[in-house]
Amino acid sequence: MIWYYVITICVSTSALVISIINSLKNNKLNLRTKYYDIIFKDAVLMELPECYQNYISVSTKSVNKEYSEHFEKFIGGFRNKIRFLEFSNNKFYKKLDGILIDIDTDVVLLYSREEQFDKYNDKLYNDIKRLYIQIDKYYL
Amino acid sequence: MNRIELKFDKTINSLAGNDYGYKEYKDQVESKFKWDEKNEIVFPNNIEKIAISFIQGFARDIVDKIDKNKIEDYITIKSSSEYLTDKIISNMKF
Repeated sequence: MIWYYVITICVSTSALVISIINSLKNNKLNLRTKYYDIIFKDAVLMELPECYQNYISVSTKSVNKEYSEHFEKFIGGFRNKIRFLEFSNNKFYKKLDGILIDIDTDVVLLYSREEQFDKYNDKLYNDIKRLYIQIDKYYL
Repeated sequence: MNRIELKFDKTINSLAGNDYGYKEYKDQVESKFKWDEKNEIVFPNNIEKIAISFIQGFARDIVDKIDKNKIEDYITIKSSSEYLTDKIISNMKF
């Protein structure tokens, strides 16, 4: 009879511990989702593709120079938005910030080196892709 | 005010690259910079765009020596546009 009680207590304690762990995991996941929604959602789903589309004209192999300032400002704003990561995940922060700086460099180089459009557009495209891969890796 | 006028090839209208920024600081600024007074760094008008990477290299030694929040006590920037000046200062302070 006593074994029955021992087993019951063990099972119920384990269930309690598992449910606490799951709840903590869910809270962490919810927090991440919140951060994603606040910081990344609009920037990566809307603004960045829009910046690229408006700046680059693949058909004419040229850039819309008037739009470059907007693109640069977006990158500057994005760098500010992700700064909290410096404290919560410094490694991830440094990676993202480095890619954003690369994207800014691509935007500036495309502005002045349209004769090498393909080279710098490929670089810009690939750097944007790198940014998405990093964000996906962290949040998915 | 100590004025430092930067010179770049006249055919260039943009500056990019951390190493290039650092080299230009070393070549054109370091020996002329005065730490006991305000320095006006003048980018020529043909420079329309400057990448963050260039600014980081250019300001590397400066931000090593002075508090980022006090940069404007030591430096003013003159460039072809207000936006560019803001970009240089805000990225020096970043």
